[in-house]
Amino acid sequence: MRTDGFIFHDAKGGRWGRFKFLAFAGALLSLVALVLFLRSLLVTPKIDSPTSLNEIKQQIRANERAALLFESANSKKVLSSMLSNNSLPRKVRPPKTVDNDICAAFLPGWDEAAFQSWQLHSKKLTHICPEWLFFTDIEKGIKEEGDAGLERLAKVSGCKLFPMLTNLDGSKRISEGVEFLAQAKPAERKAFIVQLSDLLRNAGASGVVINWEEVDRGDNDELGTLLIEIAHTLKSQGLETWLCITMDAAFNIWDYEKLSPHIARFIALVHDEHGDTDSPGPIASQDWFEGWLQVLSQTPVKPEQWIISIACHGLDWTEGKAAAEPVSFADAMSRAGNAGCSDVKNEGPSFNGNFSYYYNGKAHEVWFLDAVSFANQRNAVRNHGFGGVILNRMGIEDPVIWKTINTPGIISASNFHPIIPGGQAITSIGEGEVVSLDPTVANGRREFFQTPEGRISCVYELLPAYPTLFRLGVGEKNEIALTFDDGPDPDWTPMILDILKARGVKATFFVVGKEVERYPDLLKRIVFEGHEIGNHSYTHPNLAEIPEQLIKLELNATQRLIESVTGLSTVLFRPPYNAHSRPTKFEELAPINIAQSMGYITVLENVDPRDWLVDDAASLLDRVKESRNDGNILLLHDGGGDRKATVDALPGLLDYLQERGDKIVTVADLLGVETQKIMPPMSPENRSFEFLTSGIGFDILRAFQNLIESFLLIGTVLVVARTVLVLFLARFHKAPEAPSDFIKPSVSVIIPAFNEEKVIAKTIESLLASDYPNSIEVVVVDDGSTDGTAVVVESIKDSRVRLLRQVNSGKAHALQRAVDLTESEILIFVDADTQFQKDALSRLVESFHDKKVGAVSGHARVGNCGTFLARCQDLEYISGFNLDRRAYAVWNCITVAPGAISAIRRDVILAAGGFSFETLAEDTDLTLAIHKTGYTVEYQPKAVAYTEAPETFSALAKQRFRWAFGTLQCVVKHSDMLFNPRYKALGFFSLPGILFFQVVLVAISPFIDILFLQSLIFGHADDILPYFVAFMICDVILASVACRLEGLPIRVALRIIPQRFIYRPLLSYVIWKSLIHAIRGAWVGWGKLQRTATVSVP
Amino acid sequence: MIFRFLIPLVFICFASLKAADIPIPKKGVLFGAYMDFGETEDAVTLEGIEKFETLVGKAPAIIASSSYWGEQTFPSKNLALIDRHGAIPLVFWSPWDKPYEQNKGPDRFSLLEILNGKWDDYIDAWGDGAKAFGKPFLVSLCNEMNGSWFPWSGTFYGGAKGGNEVFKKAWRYIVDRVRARGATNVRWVFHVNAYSAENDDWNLMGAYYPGNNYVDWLGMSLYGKQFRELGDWCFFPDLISWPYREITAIAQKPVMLAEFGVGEFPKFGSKPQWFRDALKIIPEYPKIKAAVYWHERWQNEDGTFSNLRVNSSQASLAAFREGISAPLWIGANKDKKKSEER
Repeated sequence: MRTDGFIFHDAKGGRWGRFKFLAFAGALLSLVALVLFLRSLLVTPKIDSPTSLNEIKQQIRANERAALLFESANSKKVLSSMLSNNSLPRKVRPPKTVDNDICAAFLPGWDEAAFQSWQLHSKKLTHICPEWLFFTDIEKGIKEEGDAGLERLAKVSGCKLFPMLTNLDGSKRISEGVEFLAQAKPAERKAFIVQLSDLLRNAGASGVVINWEEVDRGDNDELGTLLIEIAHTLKSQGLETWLCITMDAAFNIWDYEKLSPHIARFIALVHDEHGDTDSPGPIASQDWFEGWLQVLSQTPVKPEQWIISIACHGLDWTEGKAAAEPVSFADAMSRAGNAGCSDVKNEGPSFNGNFSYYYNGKAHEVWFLDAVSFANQRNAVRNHGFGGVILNRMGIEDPVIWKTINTPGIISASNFHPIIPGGQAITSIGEGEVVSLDPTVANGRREFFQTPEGRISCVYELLPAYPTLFRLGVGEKNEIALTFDDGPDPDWTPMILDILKARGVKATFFVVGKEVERYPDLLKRIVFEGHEIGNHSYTHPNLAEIPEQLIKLELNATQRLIESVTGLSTVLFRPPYNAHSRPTKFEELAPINIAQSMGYITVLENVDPRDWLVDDAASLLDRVKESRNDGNILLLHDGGGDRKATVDALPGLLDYLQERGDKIVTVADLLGVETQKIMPPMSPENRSFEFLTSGIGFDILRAFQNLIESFLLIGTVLVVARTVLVLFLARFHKAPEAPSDFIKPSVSVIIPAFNEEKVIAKTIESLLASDYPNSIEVVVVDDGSTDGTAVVVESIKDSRVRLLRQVNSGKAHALQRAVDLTESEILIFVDADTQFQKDALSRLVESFHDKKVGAVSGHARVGNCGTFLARCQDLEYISGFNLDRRAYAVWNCITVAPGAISAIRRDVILAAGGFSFETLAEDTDLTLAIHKTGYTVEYQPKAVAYTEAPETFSALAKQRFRWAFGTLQCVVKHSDMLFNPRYKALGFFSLPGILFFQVVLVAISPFIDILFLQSLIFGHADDILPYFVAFMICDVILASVACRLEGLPIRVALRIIPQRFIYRPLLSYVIWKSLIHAIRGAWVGWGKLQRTATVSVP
Repeated sequence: MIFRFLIPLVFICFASLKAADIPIPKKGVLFGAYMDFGETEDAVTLEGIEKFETLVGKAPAIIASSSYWGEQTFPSKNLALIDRHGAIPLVFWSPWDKPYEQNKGPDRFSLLEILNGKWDDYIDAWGDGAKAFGKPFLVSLCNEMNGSWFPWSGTFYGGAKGGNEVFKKAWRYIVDRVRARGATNVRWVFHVNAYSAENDDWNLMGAYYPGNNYVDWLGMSLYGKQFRELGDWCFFPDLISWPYREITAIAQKPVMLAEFGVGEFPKFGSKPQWFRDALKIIPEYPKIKAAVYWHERWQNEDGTFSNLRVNSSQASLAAFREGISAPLWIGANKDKKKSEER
């Protein structure tokens, strides 16, 4: 057998070596480039931050003056009037010794710190009171807090659930809801009570804590009547009703005599002696606290019915501000510690903690409650014999409270340990949504004293440290900075920029690196139009969940990119997903800390209308209105999804902000620096090797991306165009029909065979059974089979069958030999596994009435449709091959009259040079050569033969490899025909079609598949999806039309969809294998199909 | 030749530049409101205004707020906000100091100190602020002077022995200074209480009237029952009839109810009925051209509430919405405002 002289043969054998060398060198170069590129991203560019943590920390210092004596608050007056009104003699009771007290706590569901506390201390509590239910509007009924976390509270044995029902809307008390309810008709009140009891029972609660403040009892105490109704109904269902009472002028509005038989417990909120809107002063000084206990003990309420709410928060008054900031114990410690306050104490006369400091030049006065005030107050509660205490609230308390909360009897100084554990909370100093983090953690120490009056005091000798956020960038109330995250986006960013430009408004864009990489011009436009930019990572991951090196890579890549696109750097950073200005989880601090160590300032936000959740402009505007007063930085999005609502809402939003008197500022304005300071021109040190490599790297990445996109676009256009053309042409094809006077000559049927013992008999029998009107001769050429092929053929006792034998020398040789040894004018070629329908022979020959026809292709179908794989191939034969041939026949550009079923004039074969050994696809090779002779190649769809399709993947792969390699060889061999006007459609349509659709497209498709998968996973499938859909639609249309022509049901055509996912990878595999083989230049055998003999003519 | 066209054109331009005066409707009453703007009555917010407008179903033509001398500021932001919203600002300009508590007598802003020239700089600065605002707006200076609760009442300056004269002098002094700064856009509202605290001649409304050249509008506060433990229920028709006669006898000026309102005390009387009466009757008085509802709720020292809000009960709110929807109650012309912007 000849194994040289074929197309791609590399006679000297050096090509593969050269190729391997080049490929290796190329790979090595790319690897080096990649390493350099990645390395350049690991080197953090120098960032000239306008402010450092140290500078910021110098802004806070102690105010060592003695605490001011503040004008006596109104609350003192109220208390004294209460004491004088209730002139009953004070009842003296012995301290309680039996500890059956209630030990409860309030728990706000929105505070993660509260749950952390709950997890540690739930066992110490008898009752837990989560903020869960809200009633502010009689028409809307009771609202539930979304994240009250009831399920997290459930099932702690021994701790009863008493959810709170308030009249809060956000932080505002709404009086109308409750007052209207008290005045409402009995049916409406009943509906409310039913709703309440259903909610409580479904939650597994044991009762409810009603905390309705600032509510008018009504002329006839309608409120008291309503409460009794509620308590009465709940009681019948085994539920208790507890009522909160404030220690202020409203204390007297309740008719205790009337209520006490029905309300199980009264919670006295004995705090807010100085509330946040009062002047600075103790939150609950000990004398004031005990004074109120005395008032309580003189009411008609039984002492054990009273539960005393003990506060544990602090208040931080800022000079010149209307309201104080509520702070946690940890916040108070952190502020005192950072300010270096040396004289922090909790001692008489107030027995509340107090200190003063300066931050950013503003004087602050802090009053706070701690474990000492808790102990003093709980002792007083015990001395009055009240029912117990309720901690107000979890999550902000001095953790040492938990060490003493279950102490039997009276707590004394000796119950305390001097260590104050640090680091258990996240604290913050100042206001504003731009933060700097000091991660330092340390324990503190305090000393406890017992005073002669039996009270406890303490001195803070060393203040504990916690991870602390120094807040910056607080603006005037009417200042607001617009920030847009996740862009740039080619659709939405330009629209947003247009609106901002028209209004003369500057914003800050936190850009995602990979989007900048795709749309660098948008970033240039953002900067050119005077907006600020910040770093929002490269791929938008949750930075709290990835390692430090990756975080650095994310930030550096984006920074380098910003530098290479704009020539400016940025010092602003915003973490994806965790932009809210009050981080509650420690892991959220890590990215802030890392970014800060790299020189960034972290920009968070407090005004978040969650524009990605709304569908229309109106509701987005409503959400902004709701949250506008929460801060100075507004978060919107210009990328990462459909931003139509944001774009639509923006003009109205700007109108609204303008009308309410807001000034739209930039983040730089809020920080009080020039834009140049936060977007400095790249420092000269940054114009380094790393800068260059990263810049070139991003350029190459972008070029690659553009290439893929253009390829997808061109590919799609061509596929669609081809589909349309094929469909159009196929309509014009008519099956050739000879005039009645055409006399069919005797023919020779040639069957090349190599190890075909299983199938050859059937094939021959199907031919012998033909209804051909003239004589036929069946010539089997046994190409040196090693099985019983020859025996089988010889066993067929029919004079029309002739067996030729040769040593194995290849299919082309076998065919050529048969051509040489037969004499018929028309030769029929049949594969040994192919069975002809009865009339197939006649139909084939019919075409030759036209003298110009040199060859005719029959219509091959898959005969062994038993397996899915075979059925897929059947569809492929129907739609891919046969429909194409119909179309090609119209323009005489059929590229292959297949060896399975075709008929060729003998002299045409000879004129075309006979069967060539140069390629593996001798049929294609010959067909193309026939075209050169000027004869036409016809298609006869009515000449049907059934061939055996490979039933395993490996067999199919082998077959297809042979086809692909052969086709490649043919295209190269006949490359002179490409775009040669002499060959018209063949040169311009079908032959280039083979190259593009069967080689290039198939070879590249797996890479596109990977891109597509990746885009599906990362959620931007809309980039590639349209191309995919277009490809698929073309396939389905072609398959449907082909099936219709074939008379098959359309549902068969739908098989094309799964088929694509099986074929595509297989086809590309064989194409790549062929290409490599082509380069290697070594001989490929004839890739024999494993015969199974499962074909039968239906 | 060209001047023949240009000159009238320039004239027309100037004529339209001259700020339009506050419209005094031939028929109907300008609807005004004070909307619970907080402790110092000056926390004007768009949110607050929009919430009130949604509540009552009509946008007020006049929005009232305060400017207390203790703040030492001109409320430019509030005025600009109200103006942008398309309403006319009404400012209660009150010379008193923190804490703003009634019944405590004159403080550092006493009328005598004002007349001594101690606050000239502040008055001038306030006048400059008023001029800078540019558009006409209403100023109720030293309101309810015939009462006894505010530190500028005549009773604190000699009472029958010329207390009212001190007031008139101070009024003219302040107005002259403001006008001297060029703030001719201020429309001065002489704002009395409907019932004088001491019903003597020296303390009647007219006794305080500083003269036609110093007053643009006559105004009065007209309240029904405000405290649960104090006073009787008074039907609106009875409440208004005498004060209307008294105030219209002072001068030929448009009259506004610069404040009116009532608490919700169903045991004593029907607030919805009071609303129905008030909103029907007010437009029937030919000289009343504006009425400002006092929408506020507060808690008293005894723990009771005074709820003057229109929505102190569902029935009250329904009555107010129904009454105020009448075409005779003239709201802000939002469409006009928008067309002017374009």
